[in-house]
Formats: sequence, C-alpha cells, structure tokens
Amino acid sequence: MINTNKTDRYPFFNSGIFYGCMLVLFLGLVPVIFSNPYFLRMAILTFIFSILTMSLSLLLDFTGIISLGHGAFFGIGAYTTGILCTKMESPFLLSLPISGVVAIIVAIAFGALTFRTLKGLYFTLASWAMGEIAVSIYMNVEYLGGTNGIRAIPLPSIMGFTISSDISFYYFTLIFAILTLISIELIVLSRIGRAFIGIREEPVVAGVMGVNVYLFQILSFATAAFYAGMAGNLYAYYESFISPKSFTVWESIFLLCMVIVGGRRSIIGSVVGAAIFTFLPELLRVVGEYREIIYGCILLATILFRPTGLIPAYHFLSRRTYYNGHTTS
Amino acid sequence: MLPVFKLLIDQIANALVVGLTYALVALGFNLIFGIMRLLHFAHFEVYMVGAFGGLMAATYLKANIFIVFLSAMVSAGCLGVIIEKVGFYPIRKEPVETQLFSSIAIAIILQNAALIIWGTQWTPFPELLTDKTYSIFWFNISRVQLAVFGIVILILAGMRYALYNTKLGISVRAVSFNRDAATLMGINTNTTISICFGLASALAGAAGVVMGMYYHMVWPLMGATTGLKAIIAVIIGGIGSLPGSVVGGLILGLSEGLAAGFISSTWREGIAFAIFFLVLLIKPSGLFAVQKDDKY
Amino acid sequence: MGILQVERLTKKFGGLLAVDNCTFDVEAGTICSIIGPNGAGKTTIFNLISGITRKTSGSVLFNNTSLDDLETHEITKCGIGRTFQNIRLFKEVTVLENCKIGQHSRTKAGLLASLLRSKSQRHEEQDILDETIKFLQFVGLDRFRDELAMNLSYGDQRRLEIARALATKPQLLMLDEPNSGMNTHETFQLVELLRKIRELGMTILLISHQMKFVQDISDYIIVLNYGKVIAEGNPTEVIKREEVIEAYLGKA
Repeated sequence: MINTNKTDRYPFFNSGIFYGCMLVLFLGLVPVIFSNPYFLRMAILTFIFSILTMSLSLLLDFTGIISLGHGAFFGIGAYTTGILCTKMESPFLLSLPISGVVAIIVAIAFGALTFRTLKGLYFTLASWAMGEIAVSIYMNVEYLGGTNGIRAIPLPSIMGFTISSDISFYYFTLIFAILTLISIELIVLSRIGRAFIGIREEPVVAGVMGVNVYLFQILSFATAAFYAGMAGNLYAYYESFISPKSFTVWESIFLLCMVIVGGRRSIIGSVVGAAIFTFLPELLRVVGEYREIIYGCILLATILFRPTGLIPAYHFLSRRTYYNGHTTS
Repeated sequence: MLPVFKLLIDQIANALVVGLTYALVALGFNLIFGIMRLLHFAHFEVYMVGAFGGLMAATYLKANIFIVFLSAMVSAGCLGVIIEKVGFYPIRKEPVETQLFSSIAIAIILQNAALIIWGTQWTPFPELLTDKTYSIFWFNISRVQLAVFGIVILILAGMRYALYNTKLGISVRAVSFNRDAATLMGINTNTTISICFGLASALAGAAGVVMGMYYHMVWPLMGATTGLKAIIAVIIGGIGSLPGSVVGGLILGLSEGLAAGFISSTWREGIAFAIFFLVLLIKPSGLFAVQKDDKY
Repeated sequence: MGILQVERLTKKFGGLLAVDNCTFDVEAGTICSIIGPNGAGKTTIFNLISGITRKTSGSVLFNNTSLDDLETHEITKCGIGRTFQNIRLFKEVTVLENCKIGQHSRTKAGLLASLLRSKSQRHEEQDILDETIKFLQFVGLDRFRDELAMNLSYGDQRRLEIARALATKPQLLMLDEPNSGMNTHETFQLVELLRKIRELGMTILLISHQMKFVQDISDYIIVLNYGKVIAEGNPTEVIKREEVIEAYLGKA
C-alpha cells in the first residue's frame, strides 16, 4: 500500500530534503575549493539565469503558456534597478522588491489585456510583440540610456555590508536561487499549482472544474514575471552595466532552450539547463562563430531524441519518474 | 500636381511588388500552418536560403532569370522536404509546442550557417535584367518591376490552379481540413504533407529571389526581417486563409511604403510591433477568418 | 418547480440551428435523460448550460437564478458539474490529482498561503486529500490513485470523469454519454453508481443512446431531434410514441 499521506503533501521534501541539504552544502563549499574567478563568474550567472528558467518553467511546463516575453521582464527588472540605483540612490533592500513589483504590474497589464481574447500560439505572438516593444523602448528613451544602456550601477549593500567580491556574489545569488527553487516547488505542489496544471492540460475543462482560467493565467504570468524582475535586479548589480541587447526576444528564446534541454516538467531540470547554456559558451569559446549553430543543434537533438529534456520529471505527484509518456517507478 | 501624382503611383507600384513578396512568403507559411497547425518560423530562413540559391545560380552558372527562379525554388523546395522529414516527421505525435521549438531550432541553425558562410554584410545580387524603364500611360514602371509582377502573378495563379484542380492540391486541402478523415479517404497523408512542405518552401524560395532582384542584394538576416512582416501579413489576412495572406501581404506592403516617409527610423521597429499587437488584439482571426477558433 | 429550468434555449452556429427553442424542466433529486439521434443537439445543450458555448437566445435558470453571462467556473460554483462525451481527463496527471482539481472551487488557499504553508492551508490540503480519497472510493478507483490518468482503462477513465465531476460538489450532475463503450456488466455497475448518487440527493441529467440503460435508470426522458424537443415524459410511455420511433428509425 502506498503511503499516500506523506507522499502527497511534501513528496519533494520527503525524499529530497536529505539530498537537497547535501547539495546545498556542496554548493556552499565550492568557492572554497574552486576559487578560480572565472568559474565563480559562470556559477553566479548560472544562479541568476536559473531564477529565470525556473520561473519560465512555471509558466511553460506547469501552466502551458509559451511566452517570448520573459527576457523583457528580465530587462524590466534590470532597468528598474539601474534607474533606482544610478538616479535615485536606492538601497538594495528597496530596489529588489520594487523591480519585482514593476515587473508584476506590467505583466498584469499585459496579461489582463491579452489573455481575454488570445489563446495558445496567438498569445505567443503577442508576447513576442511585447518583447520587441520593450527593447524598442530601452533603445530609444534617453532616460533609460538609449542604446548605451545604464552604466556604473553601484554595488548592493545590506545593512552596511557591501557585496563586492566574486565569492560574496556567489553566495548572494546562490541564496536567491535556492529560495526561488523552494518557493516555486511550493507553488506547484499546492492548490494553485494544480489549477495551473489543469490549465496546461485542458484549459476549457479546467474552467468547467471551477478554475477561473483567465485569472490564473494572469497569476502564473505575473508570478513568473516577478521572479524574472528580481533576477534582473541581481544581474544589474552584478554586471553593474546593462544594455538593451541583453533583453531581446532572442534572450527569451535562449531561456526557452534552457528549459527544454534541461528538462520539461522538472524544476531542477531548469537549473541544469541554465548551467549547461551558461558554461557551454565558455567551453565553446574556441569555436567562436559556430557557437550559435551548436546551440541550435543541441536544441534540435534534444527535441528529436529526448523531447522531455535531460532531467526527467520527477513526477512528484506519484513518486514515479515520468519519461516520454510512460511511468517507471 | 502631376509629378506628385506620378510619385504616388511609383510608390504604390513599388509597394505592390514588395507586398507580393510578403504574400508569397505568407502563402507558404499559411500552407504549412493549414496542414500542420504549426507556426513554422524556419520558413523564413528557407526563404533566405532560396535567395542565396538563386544568387549562386546567377553568379556561378550565369543563368538567366528563369533558371535562377527555378534553381531557387528547387533548392528551397528540397530543403523544405528535408526539414519536414528530419525535423517534424519524427515528432509528429508530440504536442504542438515541441514542433514549434523544432522549427525554432532549425531556424537558428540555418540562419547561423548562412552567417558563417556569407558574413553579416549583404552580398550583391547580380543584375538579371537590364535596367529599363517603360512609360505606360502617365507613370513609369521598370523592367524589373514588370518581370517580378508577372512572375509572381504566374506563381500565384499556378498555386491556385494546383490547389483546386489537381489531385495533389485537393489532397493538400483535405489533409489541412481533417487529417484523419483524409487518411480514411485513402490519401497518403505523409507524402501529402511532405509535398506541401516542399511546395510552400519553393514559394518562399521564389520570394527570396524576388527580394534579391528587387533590392539587388541578399543577406543572411533577410529571413528574420521579412519573417516579421510575413507573420503580420498572415495575421492581417487571417491564419489559415490563403487568399488572406495575399491580401495581407499587399496591405502590409502598401502601408509600409506609405508610412516610410513619416515615421522616424529608430522607432520604426517598435511601432511595427505595436501595430502587430493591436491587430492581434482586435481581430486575431484576420480579415478572412477561416480558423473557427474552437473554444471547445 | 425544477432545479433546472430551460426556456426557449436556442443556439445558431452561423446558418446551422443546432438547438431550437428548447424548453424543459428537470426536477430536483431525479435522474433525467436526454435522448435523440446523433446530431440532435444534446451535447450542445450541455455546453450551453455549462457556459462553454454562448447561447443565441433563451434562458437557463438554476435554483431560480439565471445563468446568463456567467463564466464556466462561476456556473460550476453555483452547483453544476459535468463530464464529457469524449473523455477529457487531465491526462498526464494522476487519478488523485485529477480529482483534487475538481475541488478547486470549493477551496480557497491563495498564492501567499500556499507559499507560507499556513496552518489553515495545511488543514485544507489534508481535507482535500481525505475528501478526494472518499470520492475515489465511491466510484471504486481508490487503488489507482497514483496512476496517471492516461494509463487507465476506458471504463475506469469514465469513472474518473464522474469522480472528478463529483469533486466539484454539484447539486446537478450532467453526464454526457456516461455508458458509451461499456459492456453489460459495466453498464450495470454504472446504474448502481448513478442510483447511489441520486440517493445522496443530487440531480442527474444525462445524455445517452442506449435505450435499455435509459429505461432502467431514468425517472424522466426528454427526446430531442434536429435541436427540438419532440417528446418528454415517463420512460415507458415516451418510447412508444410515434414521433420518437420515427426519429430513431425513420418513417415506415
């Protein structure tokens, strides 16, 4: 007899909590062992991008919404931070939540307008339009720095302690990545997550089962945007310089690649995807211009040979691993 | 008064040619959407490949205009069939989003391959026709424009004939309408889809040559630029509607031509997308609403 | 007065008149069947009542409140649950979760509560679990609770659809062809199940083709043809009527 009570409530924590702690411990010790600044930089970017991919996964894998606008929200967060810090001397503890909130506001406005009438691929096209319009704004509005972007963003400081070294940024971003992972898992395993999954599977039927599909689509979209906005905030602080080129629709597509290759229906998979596509460009530096083609090939190969991505979905709902439509325990 | 009028006519003629190009690309895009319910982004890269195919024929084979068109259409068509066999047939059972990403992956590969081979700058397209301007009534029309006009109309007419009067064309329409029913009627769905892909890609290839001929250059990113416009044309005309794509292309060409003078170039992209977004919101099904958007 | 009052309900799809001025009442606590040849408009009526399709004209009153302009989820919240003719389960989700989703409108944990795992949220989750297990036991699917819905047999999938609809805690349960594809034994089990549901006080409105099934189970029958109600009444006497026989078999 399967002990459903424990499994159902916190299956992730049930079996994963031990491994999770081990992993966190390992990640925590990494900078002590590998203090190569180059490697640390890759790790930091991985953590930031994994926040993006995990939130995108919530949207794509768990609510079934294909959005080409995630890069735009990343940009909104980054630009909000940039403006707040360079023009208004805002402290980190303010700029972080504000970046997230601005992203939420834009997401709700866009979502409320779009989800009313547009479904499926039509929404994807609309999100593409949004992404392009956002970039156009970044490049043309003087206050936002135009094509040059915003530079000289000061370092973040929390209660007097300034985060300046690579190692401190490492732990800083790691903490946020972990928080994101835990919070998104919690959402997915809750009543909200179930509503999202219903929308993914059969939007009309979900409505008949009592889910306010319109509202929850906006909710999912805004939640994902919130995380993306915060990731933008961290990114702006770390790079201390942001340019419109980092937030185009191609970035959004890149993020989608990470989610797909890393693993569909798997939040850890999104992290893996982020890691792969952050470390890979460096490893592929030797082949220079062939990089993009290799990404395309990796994506295509994944889709053709392993459409569910690298990390099979830990089917937390039944403690089985789901792979290609069949379950194995 | 008269010179302004002449200028306007010139602009319109120009816009019509450009619009027809969009229409050709949009047509292929719509064919593929009809038969597979797929937004085939890589279609625009096939268009670009066709343009380069024509370029090769013109440069190395010193071919005449007909051979150039033919080689572009053949190379694009073959590429289309290969893409279908490699990138879509194996994943036919997967949900639509997977196929969408496959299309995106192929687009990335094609675009970057072209960037590697030909670089980011444009390559000049050889003159296929001597530049001669005819005066008809009160306006001027160049030989190139006339030729393009003629060829495109020929292609469109041929398409219409093929779709409605040939066995193959009817199969294509049947499979677009209801794949399972078509199979039951004895239509070889797989072959039909492959051929449809090839046909649509060939159209894109022809459009590529038109673009090359008209602007006297081709460049690897031309697919991306035209792609956006073709998608807008498709949305305006209605996804799934073939006459719609032609009308949409013409409308877009015209509005682009007339608006070019008035809008500052830096905001042009943003405004184009804003219009795109508005069209999506207001009438997503387009002018010739064909896809009965099943709420069910 | 019936729990469900349909008055002059009409639906036009372009030129096609799918539902034509249908008027009927469903009495509370009864099992009422809608029968009629294919294409008669039966499923369309279900879609109109549950809000999936917009009506052209007419009215639907449930518990004396109008369902006009309500969204599907609001109609469900009023107390109408349904199943679908072509099984539309959430395929890549387990049996248990399918049923849990059904309870969405009867629970209220929000995003923040879920993130913080507040005491009330955790209690609610436990309640949801307990209730869901009860529903699954009621239809006899408890042993499959962790199985993915798409791996179930056809008959079991149909039962899961019913369990999921029951999870919305409806007063009116609408079943679209619940027994299609079932053999005699399975149909017998379904009849038992439906009787149990009626005993709980729910009203059942169902669509079916099979005459024997309909006769066994129904308290009242409504016959549809070409979108119009052509006969209604007591099961035994309705099927003997000339119009009904004609609709199914054609004119002699």
